[in-house]
Amino acid sequence: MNIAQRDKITRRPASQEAPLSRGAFQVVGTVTIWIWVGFNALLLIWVAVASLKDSTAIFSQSKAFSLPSAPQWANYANAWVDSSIGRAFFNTLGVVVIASVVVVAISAPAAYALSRFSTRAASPMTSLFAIGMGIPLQATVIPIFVGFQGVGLVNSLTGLTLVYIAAQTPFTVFLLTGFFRSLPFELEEAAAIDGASVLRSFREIMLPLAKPGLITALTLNIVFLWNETALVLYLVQDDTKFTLGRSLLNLATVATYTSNWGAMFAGCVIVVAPVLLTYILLGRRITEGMTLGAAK
Amino acid sequence: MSTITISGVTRRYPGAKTAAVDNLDLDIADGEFLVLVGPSGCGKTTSLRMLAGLEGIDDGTIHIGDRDVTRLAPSKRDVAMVFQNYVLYPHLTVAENIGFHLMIRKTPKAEIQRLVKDAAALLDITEHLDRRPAKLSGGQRQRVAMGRAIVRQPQVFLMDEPLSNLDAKLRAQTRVQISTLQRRLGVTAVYVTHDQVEAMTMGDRVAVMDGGVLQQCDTPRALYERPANVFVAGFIGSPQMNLIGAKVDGNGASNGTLTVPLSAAQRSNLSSGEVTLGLRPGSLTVTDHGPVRAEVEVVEETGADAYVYCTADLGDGPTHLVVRCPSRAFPAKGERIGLAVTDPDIHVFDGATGRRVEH
Repeated sequence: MNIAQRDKITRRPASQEAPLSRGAFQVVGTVTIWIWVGFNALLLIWVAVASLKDSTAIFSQSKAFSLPSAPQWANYANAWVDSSIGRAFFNTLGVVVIASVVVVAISAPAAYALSRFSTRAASPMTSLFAIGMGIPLQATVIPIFVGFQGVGLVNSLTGLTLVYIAAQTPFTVFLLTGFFRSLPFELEEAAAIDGASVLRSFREIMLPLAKPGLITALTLNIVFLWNETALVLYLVQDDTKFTLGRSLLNLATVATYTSNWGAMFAGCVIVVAPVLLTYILLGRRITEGMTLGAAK
Repeated sequence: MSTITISGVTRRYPGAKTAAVDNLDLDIADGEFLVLVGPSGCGKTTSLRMLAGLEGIDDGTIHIGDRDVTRLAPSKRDVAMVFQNYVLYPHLTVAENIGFHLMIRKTPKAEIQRLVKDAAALLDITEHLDRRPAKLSGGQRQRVAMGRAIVRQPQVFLMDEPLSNLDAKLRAQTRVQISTLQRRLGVTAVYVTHDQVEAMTMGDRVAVMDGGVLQQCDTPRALYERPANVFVAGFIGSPQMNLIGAKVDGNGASNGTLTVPLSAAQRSNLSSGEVTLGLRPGSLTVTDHGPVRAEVEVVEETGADAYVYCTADLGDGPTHLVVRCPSRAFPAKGERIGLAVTDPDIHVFDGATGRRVEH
């Protein structure tokens, strides 16, 4: 819903309208947001255009903001093959998809239980997950590294996947708990009367109804993990196991020596494009899912 | 099909001072249609939910047939329930909604289809079987909820105000349909409503509850003719029975110009010198020379009759009375009228305990 639509819905009779300041605030807010959106869009477009130029054109004062005279598709080939962005792409795809699916698969039953069972432990456990959300990932890197060394999970994509699952579970449980709370309790009663066990009513009644929430959780996890760089930086040293974030960092370092900036921007586009596409396809559902969970 | 025996069942909610349901005893016969009725918060829905297993029981036992189900999960009780808001599964089609229990029971697919079709035909929702509940009207959803219950052939039907979301006309129709269906299937049914007309027209017996306590459980006729206490007297019957406080003296019970004779048996059964007199609107007649003087405030015409709402001055302040009149001969608003008690069958209730005092 954009601001203009929202304004239409919440419009009150003139007599109740807030004084002028609210209108002015809204105008300033709208303008600020559009400037911000425009700035970001411009950056993205500039990166996409730069990815098709050669380095001299990127840094030339006269051509920096113009379209390329001849698109340099070789930049993409360079990034994908020579700088191993291609391998990193598939590494990332594997890690992110597995981690996101496992996170949601673990979090959904946990969230359901926390939202439904009024046992004495449920409330402190929900708080525990909230606390888990508050711990910065970076603070856990050294302990994880030391621990993983002992079990041979350093420099391994399996290890990375495990850390991702652990890191994303608190947030996902928290998100889904709110979502399950918003689903009518009576449906489970009806299912119970119909003879369904708790597990069955979760699987066949609640889970299908929670689909918007699950999609939201899945997408947010995919997007976050897709861009994650800090943990890979510490936990993975072998460049055949790099994920996109780490690979891009590599590409930037290389570009400072080789001046192949076009390839670096091509790498950027390869990293950003899937995330952007996900948002374009699922953006509406994501916002719906988030507000639905938060509403009740 | 089964009897239901509820003995001494009590439910206390944590933090509440009084029990939501207090020491409830009810014996429901096989195939009987029992209606639980009372104002909101009287414990009728809680009682039904305890019977379904959706609510814990603090004290007492519930038997369905010979089986003690007190601690049994809802899924193990073999009861079907129609909820007030129907609670259909929104992501399943009508057919899947109706067949959900059968699917869980691992009934063969062909058999499920047959049973669902039969139930749908019985309820006239065959053409909606492939639709989702969101596409149905309120009345259709209500019938799907009924279908979900009858397809199972359960021991007991439980219904929690299933008609309260329907409009008046549809409610009257569905009322008849549910009664007919229940009698045809012969399944013991417990039905909760706050509407006393629904209770009186549908139930073989009606259990009136108030404040978590069962007030009286009897046939609709007996409830109307011999209410056990002031609460039942006021609750059953529409318009409400006139309840008038009176003092016992040598002539009987009187309040100002209104005097009602008391029998010797009644006098000996009283615990105090005060009684509450119960007069149905039809027990009073408008006559010029009636001993009670009153002023007409509102006249409600129903077609067959007219109900005259008036204020009488009996002696100790104004008393509001309702009088039934023939539809063509009723006084006008604002008119001063005389009222006489013409029906000898006046209900007398003990002033202290509220209990009925028999002749």
